[in-house]
Amino acid sequence: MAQKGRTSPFMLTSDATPYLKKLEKTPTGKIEQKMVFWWLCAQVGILYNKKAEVPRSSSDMTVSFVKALLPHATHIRGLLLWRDLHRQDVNIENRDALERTIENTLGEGENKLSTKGVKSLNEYASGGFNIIKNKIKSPDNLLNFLIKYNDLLKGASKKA
Amino acid sequence: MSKLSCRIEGITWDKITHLDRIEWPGTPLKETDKLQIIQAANSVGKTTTLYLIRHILTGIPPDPEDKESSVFQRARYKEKGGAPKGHMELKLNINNNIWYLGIKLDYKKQKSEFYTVDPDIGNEGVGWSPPDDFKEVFYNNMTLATLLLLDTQKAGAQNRGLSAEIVDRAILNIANLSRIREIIQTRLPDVYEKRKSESEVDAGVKDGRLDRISNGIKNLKEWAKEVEHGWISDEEPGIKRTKEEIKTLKQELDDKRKEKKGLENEAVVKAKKEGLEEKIESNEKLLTEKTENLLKTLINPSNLSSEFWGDVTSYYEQLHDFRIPEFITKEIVDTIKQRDKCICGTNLKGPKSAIHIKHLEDFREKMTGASIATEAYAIKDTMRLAEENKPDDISDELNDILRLKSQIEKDKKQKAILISQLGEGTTKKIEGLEQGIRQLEGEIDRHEEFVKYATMTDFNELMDDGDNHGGVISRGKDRQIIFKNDWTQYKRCTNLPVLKRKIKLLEEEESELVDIRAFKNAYEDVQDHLQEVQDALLNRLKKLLTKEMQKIFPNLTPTSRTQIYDLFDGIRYENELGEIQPAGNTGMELSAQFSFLMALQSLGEINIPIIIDNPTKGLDGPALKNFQKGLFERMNEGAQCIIFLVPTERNQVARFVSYATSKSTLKRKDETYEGVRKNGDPPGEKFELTEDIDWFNNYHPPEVESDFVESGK
Repeated sequence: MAQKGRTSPFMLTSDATPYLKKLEKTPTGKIEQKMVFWWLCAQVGILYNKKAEVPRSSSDMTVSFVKALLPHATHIRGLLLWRDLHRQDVNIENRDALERTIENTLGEGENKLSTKGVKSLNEYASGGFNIIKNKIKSPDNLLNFLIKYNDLLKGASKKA
Repeated sequence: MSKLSCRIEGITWDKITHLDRIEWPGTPLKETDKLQIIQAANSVGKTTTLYLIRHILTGIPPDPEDKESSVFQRARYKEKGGAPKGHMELKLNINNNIWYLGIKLDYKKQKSEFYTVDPDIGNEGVGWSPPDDFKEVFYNNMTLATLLLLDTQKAGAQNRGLSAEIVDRAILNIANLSRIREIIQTRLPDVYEKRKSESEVDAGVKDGRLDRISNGIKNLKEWAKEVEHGWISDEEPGIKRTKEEIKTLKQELDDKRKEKKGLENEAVVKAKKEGLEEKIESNEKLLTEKTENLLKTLINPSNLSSEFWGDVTSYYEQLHDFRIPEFITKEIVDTIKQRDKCICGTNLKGPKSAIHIKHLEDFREKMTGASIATEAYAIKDTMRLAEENKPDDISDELNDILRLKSQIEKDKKQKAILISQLGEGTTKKIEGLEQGIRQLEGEIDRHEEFVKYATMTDFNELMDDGDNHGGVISRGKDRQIIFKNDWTQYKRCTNLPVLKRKIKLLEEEESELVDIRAFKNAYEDVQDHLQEVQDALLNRLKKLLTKEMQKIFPNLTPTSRTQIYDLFDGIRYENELGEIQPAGNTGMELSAQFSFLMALQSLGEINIPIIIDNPTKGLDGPALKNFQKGLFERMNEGAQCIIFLVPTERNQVARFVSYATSKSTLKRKDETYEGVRKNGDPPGEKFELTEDIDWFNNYHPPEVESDFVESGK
């Protein structure tokens, strides 16, 4: 049954903050919003199917997608759903199970995700960050980070 | 000095004495023919021929005033009708070239004219012009000619013995050393006299001019040295030092210019750097923009790879195929509840509707909300079509960014290099250098101007300059350099060519004055040395000749006990008492002369013909015999002796006759051996030359006492 009410905020591990700070010290720009970085991490997490517990020290961000991510919200939710459905290994013919998962993932809030859906995304973000910080250890600037991030995505594509 | 070889190859008489168009010899002589005899009666013209040959060989015209020789009178054509003019020609072989030397005589005017036929030219040329070798020996040398072309009748009467002059000259001539004598006695004195004759020069030595000029040269040279190598004043250097200064200043100027250029380059570098900075800044901005765009690209899940999306879209396709999800939303249930009838047909307003409505409410609770359902459908549709709507590969965008990034890095590196070249305070330094450069340039210009005018050789330009460098070289009173603008001392002149020119002029003048002294000394030295050489040679030759003569002479004077002593003062004799005497009797002198002639043959440097007229005069008997033999034996190859005989001498000179390869007789055409016509009358026809041997051997005309035979008389 779909959940009503207030959804949880998107959260990012506090470890990401200093990492993000490094990216800000560059002449090539910075990631203005934390949530954008959150999504970069979540994207990697989803691609690599890696979740990680969101540390308690994680900081809340917003409950809705930021403007930069809004155009991609459906895709985000779609990817989340796809990954969770795969993760649960629900048979495609098991309608009830699938619909339940869909209902449990989506929500009526602004971000149209349930608490569970948000939590899942947060976990993917956490897992993704772990991958990022291991693969892109010392980003000296945003551009170099993005170049390597792109390589990371390519690498995930082969494994997906 | 060249060797002279001369032979008389022919004689032509044309209206000379009694001879008209007669040529001797009839048969050409051979090179080896040493002895020729021409016999003719007295007064036919043998002696005249001898005299004329002397004149022709020496180029000395006969002197009409010379009563002793009387050549004009002798040579005058004496045949019937006479002739106003006549000529005699010699065909000479001079060093294997045939020359013709002749003399034309105008008997009336008593004038003569030589002519020469040069084998190279072929035409007769007026004047006496034999080759130089011949001239050297014979020209104006009557002494030698008289010695060699011997008139024995007069030999004894010519001199009381051969004088020292004749002996020495003959030896020098025959030994081909006459040029030395000529230089000593004629040429050197001529040159000296010529120099000496310049009275002004001579006066210059006397009136002290020479000393003044010498001092002037000394002063000028010292000053010129200073101008060139030293100092013009205490502070002003001369040319060489100025040039060195210019060199130093130019180096300094060069350094400053280089430094300035470096600084200017720095400014350029700055500009370049600033340009780069702008570029870098611009590119960095651009890079930032592109990075931001890249970020936007990367956060867009649509840009994930096609491979990935392939899996995703196919999954959602499956969901679609299975009509998953298929939601009846709460809202629909709410709508149904509001209706009178349920979709199953149950009446929702009657008494049994409560159970059905509760049933609907329970069903509603299980349904999802419309928003979720909508989103679910939206997701399904979106994800299904994601691959189709996938944007282009981001590789191009990425590559573009990478290129820009690379350019920025490159520019930054370049900037770093430029930055490393920059110094501080560039502009001020440049200004300071510019000022220094201007100063140096000014100094260099001044120095170069000085050098230019100090070395300028165009005097016109120099004078037009109006500077004291210029001036006119003048022979002023004290030999100072007089300048155009003012009469200043020579130290005002700092133009080296002017100074050098003045020095040169003075030196030339000095040398003229000095030269005469030096020349005289040199001339006297040369003269003395040459004289020494000549004397030494002459002495040596005289000794040789004396030895020869001492062999010959006794044979020519067998009855005498006098012997040739030496030739150091003419021919000197030693009598039986051992006394030295300069001359003997006539016969002895003739024998001495013959001996001398014969001895001269042994020198052999030059071969010139000997002509003996009346050889039996002065010698007789054994002396004559010995003379004939001795002379012939001493004749070298190519030597020549012509004997003029009167027929009565013939028997006395049998040896000569036997040695002679050419024997000719001059006689009248109508003569018989006896010298008369057949009818006994005196012959009257023209003379002819015959080489008939019978005529030579048998001709014995009567002796004629008179010197002159008038034709027809």
